[in-house]
Amino acid sequence: MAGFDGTRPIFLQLAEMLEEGIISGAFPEEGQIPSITEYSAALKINPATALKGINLLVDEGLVYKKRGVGMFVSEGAREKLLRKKRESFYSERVLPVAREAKALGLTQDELQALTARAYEEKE
Amino acid sequence: MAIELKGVTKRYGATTALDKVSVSFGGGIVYGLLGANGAGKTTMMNVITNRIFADEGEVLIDGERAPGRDKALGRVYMMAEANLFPDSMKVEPALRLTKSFYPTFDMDYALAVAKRFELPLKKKVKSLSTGYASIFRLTLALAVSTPYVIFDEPVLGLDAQHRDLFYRLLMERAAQTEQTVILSTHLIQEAASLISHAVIIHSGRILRDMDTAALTGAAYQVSGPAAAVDAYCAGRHVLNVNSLGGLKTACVEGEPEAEAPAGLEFAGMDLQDYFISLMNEADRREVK
Amino acid sequence: MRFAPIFKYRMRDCLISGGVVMLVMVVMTVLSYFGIVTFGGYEESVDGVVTERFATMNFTMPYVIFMFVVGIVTIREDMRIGIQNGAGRTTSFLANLACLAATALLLNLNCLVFYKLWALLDTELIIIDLYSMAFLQEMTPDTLGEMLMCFITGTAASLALAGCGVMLSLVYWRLGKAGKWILSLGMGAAFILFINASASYDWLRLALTNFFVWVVKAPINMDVFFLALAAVFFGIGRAVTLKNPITAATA
Repeated sequence: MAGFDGTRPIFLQLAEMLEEGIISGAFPEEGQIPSITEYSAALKINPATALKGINLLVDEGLVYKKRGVGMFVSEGAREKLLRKKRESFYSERVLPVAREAKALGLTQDELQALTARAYEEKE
Repeated sequence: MAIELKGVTKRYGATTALDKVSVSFGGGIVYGLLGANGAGKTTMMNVITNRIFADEGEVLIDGERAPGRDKALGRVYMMAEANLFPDSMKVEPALRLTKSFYPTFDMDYALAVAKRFELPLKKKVKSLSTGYASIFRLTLALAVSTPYVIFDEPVLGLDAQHRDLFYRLLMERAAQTEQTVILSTHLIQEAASLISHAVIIHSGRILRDMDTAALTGAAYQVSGPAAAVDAYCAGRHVLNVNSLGGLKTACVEGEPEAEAPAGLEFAGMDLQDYFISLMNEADRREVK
Repeated sequence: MRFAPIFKYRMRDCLISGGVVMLVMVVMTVLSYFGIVTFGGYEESVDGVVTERFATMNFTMPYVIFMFVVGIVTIREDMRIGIQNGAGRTTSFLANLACLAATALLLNLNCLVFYKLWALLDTELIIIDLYSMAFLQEMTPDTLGEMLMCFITGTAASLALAGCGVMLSLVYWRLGKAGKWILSLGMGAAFILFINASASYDWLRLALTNFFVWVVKAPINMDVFFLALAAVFFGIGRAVTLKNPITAATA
């Protein structure tokens, strides 16, 4: 199981893991996600931390609780997450790249040329 | 409802093993009692469970003075390195003996845990190797259902696979019960994700007593050219400094600014780094 | 309630070891009865013809020594088991005391039964008992009343010795290495000094003599003496457990 980065709060990292799982389809909409106990035991993390991480998604309406049954991925959660990711894409990904490019002395045109090339790159 | 220590001092001749320690454990969470070997962890746990007496101060368990009281002592179960079972006793009878004291002791669970760790039930407790002695004790502590459970260096002598299994079982248990767990260990890295509250002890004194969630804002590292780092650190609480050629890295207490000043870089610190910085700082102070 | 588990564990242990001791004694007695082994044998003969022959059997002594050993070996174990399982020192101590008392009663009850059976047999084997030695002419108790007195005195002596074992075990546990040496040598030195003192001071010798004369004057005196000893020993033991660290046995 993937380790956690000790310098960032684990509950955030757990929330990110869950979000990625929803985007990738590992946790399909209306599908059940593991319980707090399962998360704590499998990832060896404090149950309070696991609860806090999952509650982040509950608060955003991405996951909902069914009393006595467990937790499920909400309908439309994947779409919602993709939208959120697109919004943060600029601030978290594009902006740092532009800054780094400036620091390296690349012009705006040169950076655009690089992005175009990257887009064409075959996977 | 908590275990409370109030100004507890314990001396052994000229050495002060615990120095006016005041701390409390409660709320059904998992505590980490973190400290180097000889920091006073075991002494503190021994005082709580009345194996030894404090020279000063008092211990309250759910408001009741602990020493000598069955009711208070019966609420705390401690697995310690010291083997208090009779020399001739075998593992299985020891489980049954524990059950006779704690009617809610989960025998089926204990046997299941013993099986997963391949603990030999027919062997004498005394003749178990360090690793299996640890397994024996953690099996007892996992299956007992007292409101407070103390694990004192639980993974002593355990291999990686068994440590992993223990941590999983401990977290599973923590998620399912209301027990307050005290995990006393010098293995900070391994304990970091398991605990939600850290009590850091050094030379018999409590250095920090805080939620691990608060750690992110507790300290950070700043690195860059020596002069720039020095300038930045002026007037700040620096725990520890490392230099490598002209580069310097300082551990600073507090929360970093949103943007690092030009030429400097900020980085977060994990619990172990923070712990080491605290120890270094405390040692420097003692030398002074 | 944490008294019961300790008591149960220790009682079971005492019943087993006490049972073994009783069995050994019964076997010895039977062997002795058939003349296979002889303890304290005595023969009187006139011109090569045996006129009188008897052997002796002693139950109280082995039992009292057994109780002393049980006191030594059980108290630390019980304190350890107790504290590991959330029992306070008072509880562990009392549970141990209760087991020792019960064992002493059982062993001496065994004597009583034996005396009763013995009285039915006509044998040259004489059972010597602490009480009968001190208070009976014919050494062996005959009447039920005498046997009961044997039982009471034996039990009181067993308790005193068990208490002595408990006290010594606890005091040595509490002391550091230097303390153990000082106590061991000091006890020897005190004993020698005391003997010397009683030899050189008349009043001391007289007081001692009077005291022991008082002890053997009446059965009740002897019983009181043993019970008082037991109380002192257990009292000191209890005082030690008030503050002693409960540590693991070192291999």
